[in-house]
Amino acid sequence: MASQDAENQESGWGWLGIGNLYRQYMWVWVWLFVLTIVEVYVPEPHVFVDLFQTLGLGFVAGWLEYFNETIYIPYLGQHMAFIVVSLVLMALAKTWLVAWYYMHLISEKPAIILIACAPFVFSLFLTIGLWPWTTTFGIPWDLFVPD
Amino acid sequence: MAAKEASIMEGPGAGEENLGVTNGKIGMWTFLVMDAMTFAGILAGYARIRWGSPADAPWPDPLDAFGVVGIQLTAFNTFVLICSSVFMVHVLAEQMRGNMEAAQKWLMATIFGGMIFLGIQAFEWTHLIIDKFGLVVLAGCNENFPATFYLLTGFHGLHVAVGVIYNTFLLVMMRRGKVTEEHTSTTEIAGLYWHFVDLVWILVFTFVYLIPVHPPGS
Repeated sequence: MASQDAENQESGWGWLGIGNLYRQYMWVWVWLFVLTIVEVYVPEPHVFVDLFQTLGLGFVAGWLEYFNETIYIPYLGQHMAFIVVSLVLMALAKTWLVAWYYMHLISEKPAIILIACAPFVFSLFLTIGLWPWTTTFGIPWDLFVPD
Repeated sequence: MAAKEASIMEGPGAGEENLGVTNGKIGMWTFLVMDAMTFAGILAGYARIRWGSPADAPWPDPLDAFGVVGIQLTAFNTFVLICSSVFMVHVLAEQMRGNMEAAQKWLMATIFGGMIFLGIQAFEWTHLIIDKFGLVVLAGCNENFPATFYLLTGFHGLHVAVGVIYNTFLLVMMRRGKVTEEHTSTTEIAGLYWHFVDLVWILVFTFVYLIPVHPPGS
């Protein structure tokens, strides 16, 4: 990242005219910021309507309220699966951005990347193990339970 | 690449490495993996308790439960932590550029961000303990909600507090000249911990604050 070009230490610096900001880090920051806003919007779309009204941006609040009432809530906002899946995916995207760019996994050896992925494999096992299953998949599990 | 260079540029500790990376970094990654599994266990337990809550003591909707502090304040806190994370990468970047003065300023901003986060969390806890979920849980509320909330956010807050102390220690070492532009590995290891704290908060924020009980359109 910050020293991709070891020959030229100044390479990559400067963002929106500010010389002391490293460009790639700032773009990752912008993505993290945008995803956080969308994350808050998905479960609570009215928060931003209130926010824009408080800021005196009534026309934006009105437009957003119209969007909420006619498009977002009728088509997407009623589906819990959409809410949960989109929130989890956005959280995973943000964690990937932080780990890949800020924790420099992008330039690490594959062994370190594998070590970093270990908790996700562990989480997968945990999720499967703790999931409130309502089916036995036709397998008589109780036969395996000792008396 | 920053990580690769940090390992190579580490002068005094150059011999103390295995697998091509410094032992310090291997140690920090091992600790972070262990810590991540602890958080994964707590989050998975939280999810299981939440989705298994009985009908007579339903899980409260986080958006209602947090009342006046709301998720807006916590969203702002998340933003503070993300900013703090970007400050931290600039510490390492400026150090690699040899600009230690700028690195110290970025590090001060990082510490300040962590302290703001802790301050807001303290305000939130105070409000919730006094008005909402104190020793006497509100009638009809699932008792597991405040229990898991305080456990998750408290455990994370403890990590932030440790990170602030860690970074303050690093700043003192920089000011005394013990950590110079040649010791990038030291800063990188501290940065790994700080970014991990940010990374975990992203997940805690989603699971505890954002996922609603009912969709907004219901």
